[in-house]
Amino acid sequence: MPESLAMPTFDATNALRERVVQAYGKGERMHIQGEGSKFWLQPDPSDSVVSTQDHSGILAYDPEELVMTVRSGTSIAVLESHLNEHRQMLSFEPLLIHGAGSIGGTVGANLSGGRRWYAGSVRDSILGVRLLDGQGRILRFGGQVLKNVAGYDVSRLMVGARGHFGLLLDVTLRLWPKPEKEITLMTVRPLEAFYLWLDRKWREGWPVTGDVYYDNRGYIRLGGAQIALNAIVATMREDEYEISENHDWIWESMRNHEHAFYQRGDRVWKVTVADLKTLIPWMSILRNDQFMCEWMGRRWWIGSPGADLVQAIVAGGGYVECCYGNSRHQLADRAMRRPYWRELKKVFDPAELFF
Amino acid sequence: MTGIHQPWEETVKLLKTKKGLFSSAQADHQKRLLTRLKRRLRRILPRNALILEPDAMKPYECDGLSAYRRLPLAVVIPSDMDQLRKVVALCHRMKVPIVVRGSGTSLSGGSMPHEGGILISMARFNRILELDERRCLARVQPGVRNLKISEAAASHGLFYAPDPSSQIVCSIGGNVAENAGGIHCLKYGLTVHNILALQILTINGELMELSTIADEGPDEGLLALMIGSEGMLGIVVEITVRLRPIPPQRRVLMGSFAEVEHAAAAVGALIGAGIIPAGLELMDGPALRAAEDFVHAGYPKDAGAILLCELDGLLEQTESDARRSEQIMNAHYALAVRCAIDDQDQQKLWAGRKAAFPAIGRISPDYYCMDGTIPRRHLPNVLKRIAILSSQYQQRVVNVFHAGDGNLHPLILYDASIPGEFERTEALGAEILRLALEVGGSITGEHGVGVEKIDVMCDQFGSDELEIFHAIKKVFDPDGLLNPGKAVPTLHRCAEMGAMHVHHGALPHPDLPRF
Repeated sequence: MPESLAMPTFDATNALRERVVQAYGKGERMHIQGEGSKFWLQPDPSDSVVSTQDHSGILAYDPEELVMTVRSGTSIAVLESHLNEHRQMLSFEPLLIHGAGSIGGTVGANLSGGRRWYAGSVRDSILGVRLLDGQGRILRFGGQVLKNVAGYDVSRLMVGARGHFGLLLDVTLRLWPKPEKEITLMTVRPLEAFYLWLDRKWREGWPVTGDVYYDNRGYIRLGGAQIALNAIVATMREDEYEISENHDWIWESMRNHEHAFYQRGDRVWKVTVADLKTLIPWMSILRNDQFMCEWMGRRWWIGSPGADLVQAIVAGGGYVECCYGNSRHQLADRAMRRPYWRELKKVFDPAELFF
Repeated sequence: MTGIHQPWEETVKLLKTKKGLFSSAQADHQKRLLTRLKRRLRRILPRNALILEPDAMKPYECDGLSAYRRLPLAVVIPSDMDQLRKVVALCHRMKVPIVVRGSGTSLSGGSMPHEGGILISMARFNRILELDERRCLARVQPGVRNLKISEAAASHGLFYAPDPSSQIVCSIGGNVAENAGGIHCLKYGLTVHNILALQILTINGELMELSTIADEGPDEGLLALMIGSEGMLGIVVEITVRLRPIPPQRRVLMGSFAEVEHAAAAVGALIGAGIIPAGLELMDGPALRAAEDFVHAGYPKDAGAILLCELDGLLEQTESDARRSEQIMNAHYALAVRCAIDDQDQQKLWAGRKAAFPAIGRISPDYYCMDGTIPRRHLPNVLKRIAILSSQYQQRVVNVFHAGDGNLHPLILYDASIPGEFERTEALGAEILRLALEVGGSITGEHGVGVEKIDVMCDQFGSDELEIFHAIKKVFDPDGLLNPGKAVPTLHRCAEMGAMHVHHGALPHPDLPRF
């Protein structure tokens, strides 16, 4: 049976619903906010805000099920400390901007961290949601089981929708066991050579759980049984790779955006591309400390890129979002420009309460 | 279907009965419409792409759920986009329903034809367009068989993970429509987790591209909405799948247990201990005996249940996991735990599981396969209650299922030639699905709703949610032409079933008549 949970829980369902019903009556527009950590998605000071901060807590968690149901305003940090006790985790390694972030905001922004390439995205972890839509209806989609194909997959439609369809009340997530042990390898070599090598090792079955490339250094995280990791380490040549706990800091500094790269006050763009090759032609205009790279070269964080680089990425089918700097709302939101998106919004939120 | 006017249903009814409430002038008008449709189909399609004779259409009258059969007005087998577009445009203009079919292996009647509509077979869209080894993806047409993708990728050391047991014949387009699963879902995910992009032809002829290849935006959610939508929202014309490196080592363990409940409890314990097997399958006594008699897989025929557990990864990792798995099974009263000694032995152990359904076919004239999913902790209890229901309904039930993800496949054995047995089987099936719902599960884990589970949908969803589903369908298919009448019940139907959720103590749809 699910254990009783010691952490305090706050149910603001009724208050939130009332707020939405009132706003519906008045035709007021609202911006949904959790911990407000993703500042590039924040509203203007004059915008009206509905906050999920008073709606938090874990509703159900049974470690044997690998499933957790949690209120949307629950802080990721709180949630993870609870999962840690049972050696489980969110597979997508949610980004915590300076340690903050709620689960509702993470789902709404579709913001996955370094493990995504290896273990799946926020969307892949979603099993079900309870949604407060723009007409004040409380709707339940999906469920608490790993496989569920009854009805359209509305739960996963909420991922990356930034609250356009309504306010998430609860989210049910699939969890993963933490590897028995994780180690970090560091190597100094050029970008392409690093990723070629990593790609080969990954295909050979190395249990890679993360990678980062920054300033001529490549980092790899491996996770698994101690005995399996020992066997890998035994095959390595010490003069080529450093294997040390001293490099473990890189993962937390990446996911918390506390790495020096993010502290320089530059604009930073989050860029997702089809593969490493997309950005190779542009390498000559970027300094070594001007970009960070992860997901086997698919996601880049680029400081102060020229407008022509951004344009080239978008033209090449890439996805660009400005996360630091004054370029809020400069999003390449292809999906939200689709006519179908607008029609779908009308299904949930005909009065356009949420924006 | 949300009560949208269907002129073709009337036409067909009328032509079948050759009488009715219509005046002869109306009947003539309907007949002229049908003649015009057939004439236009002949004009836009070559001879080999169109079947109009009822006898020749017979093979298309049902899918894997053969209890439900219907003949369409015509079967169309387009061989390229141009032909497909023309047919869709014609149907759109004349408001003729369309059912799209892959290999016809759906177990829920998802591709059963509409008697007033056209069946489009995607069998000729069967090419692998691109296999990109470097980017680990394959761009394929919807008629490509599931297994063919892994076969093509094997020489590059890659494979496509979702493997429904029909993978030799089922098409990838059908997999997308149903969000198909298989035995490797627990570790590698369902179809939705393994599709990178889709190209969808909408009913009004637009080509919509949804991709997550280089995208972290909302397209990922839209893509998920399309996957598993049972052909109700659009026609999938191109699919990009994710390929994964073939794991260097595979190890298969077989634990045998005296009681099925012990095996079920071991499942929860394995996962709770942090082991994610690539596959974790349970077969109860009758199922393992039927399979053993059929393919001689080496199963212990005196056991009450067996658990097949596949572990993959690096050599040392699989060794470590296998050791721990064996300990856990022993702690749950395993009679014996055996590790396959080589590849051949592994294949033999799996062969029994993969042949389980046909094996059951040998011990019973007919069987009905259910597909409920439950939280794993309820496995022992639910299996016990299924046994009780089975004796109440006097229909034997055999269990073969994906234990790792709680996806039950109780097989109800029956004989269709005995009057009343099929009806009793359906009623028992519905009870089993309600049991799954009662413990917090779902009525379908991977087979889809189709026509089969449409009534039980009223138990799983409230009226607000069903209304949202209908509204979503209307966004993509305003005239309700794509696979009408499937997957989502009308609110009227649910009210008539008397099975609607009661929200906040109030009866839903108080305005609707009930009988």
